[in-house]
Amino acid sequence: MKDSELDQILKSAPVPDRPQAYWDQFSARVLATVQWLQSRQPAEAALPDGEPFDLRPRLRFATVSLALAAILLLLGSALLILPARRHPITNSQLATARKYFREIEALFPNQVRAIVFDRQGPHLALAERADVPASAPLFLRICVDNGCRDYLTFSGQEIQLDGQTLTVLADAHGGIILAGSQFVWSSTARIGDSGDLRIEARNLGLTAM
Amino acid sequence: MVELDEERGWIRNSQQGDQEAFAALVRHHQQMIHALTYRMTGSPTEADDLAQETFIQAFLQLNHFRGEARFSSWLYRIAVNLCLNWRKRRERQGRLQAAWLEEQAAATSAAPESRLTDRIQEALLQLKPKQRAAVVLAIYEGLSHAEAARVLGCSETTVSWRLFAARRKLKRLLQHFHHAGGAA
Repeated sequence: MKDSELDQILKSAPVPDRPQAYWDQFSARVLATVQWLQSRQPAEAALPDGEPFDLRPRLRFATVSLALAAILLLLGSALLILPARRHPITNSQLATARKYFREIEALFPNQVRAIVFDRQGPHLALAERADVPASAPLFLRICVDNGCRDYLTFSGQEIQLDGQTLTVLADAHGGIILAGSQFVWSSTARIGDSGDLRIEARNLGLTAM
Repeated sequence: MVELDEERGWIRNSQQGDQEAFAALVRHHQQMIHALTYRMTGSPTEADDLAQETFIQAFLQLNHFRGEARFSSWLYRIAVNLCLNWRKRRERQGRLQAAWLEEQAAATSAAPESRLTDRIQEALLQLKPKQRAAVVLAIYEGLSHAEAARVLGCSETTVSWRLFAARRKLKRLLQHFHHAGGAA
């Protein structure tokens, strides 16, 4: 096989198509993250002078992590240490959660399905499209023997807990219900046996965004 | 030329903090960078993430861009470095993915074009990462060996050698398609 024939074969493989909406939103997503970074760490954004993209080990993923995961890292630093040991939810934790929720929601409007904090760190569950119905955000804390997880989510969303899928629902009276395949839990009434789980749920007190 | 002038304007304005100008730069180069990150990773999801990281890092480093190289080359360098580092983190997953792709390709009953595309991506993933980077830059992106060398931070001779080794392996991996009519 000649080089030119190989090149022709290689070039015959297209990259996956993406919908036009993806391209339309891509630059906005980049800018949203950049704006957030600038508002957070203006002095740290610039790296030292020198060969700009040399493969210096200490920089290899520092900026990458900063760029994509900074939001979550900060969320983690703010909230990760809280849930595992401090039960129940305090007002200051709720205030912190409100603050960060607003920032994440501003970056990804109507895309946030849930933000989960566990021992491995924060995890952001986003919808592919900005079609998550606007509703008041809820703060859940679910503890088992080996620790707690905090969830920032909405009524109607599903969350995962140790392989179980739980549906989160808010009723008209401010009560919060967790419905799983093995139990149903309510913040206002004991309507089921949640086993070893210790659950707390609060409305974040924000109006629908 | 008009396009280059326009790009210079976007770069200058971006360096002065004009985020709309930077958005124009992103829009201008986003498909090129996505293609590169996809060829390097074989994963559309990872490619999306790495493309986004590329532009974020570019924005953070924009004041270091002095216009000595083409802006696209500068972006290539960021993207390739991110992909190479990604490969190290995901080396094990990459091997598993390659093995999975191989099994998929062997078992697939998909359309011939789809099968060819999968086999090509699988073959790319079987190259050493730096060889793959050379292939992506020189063959897919059409950079000269000198330009690819600048992006990769190595000598032209190294690029040529990596391309030679990569082509030799790719010919072996893809010989079936050549005999079967290649890309035709």
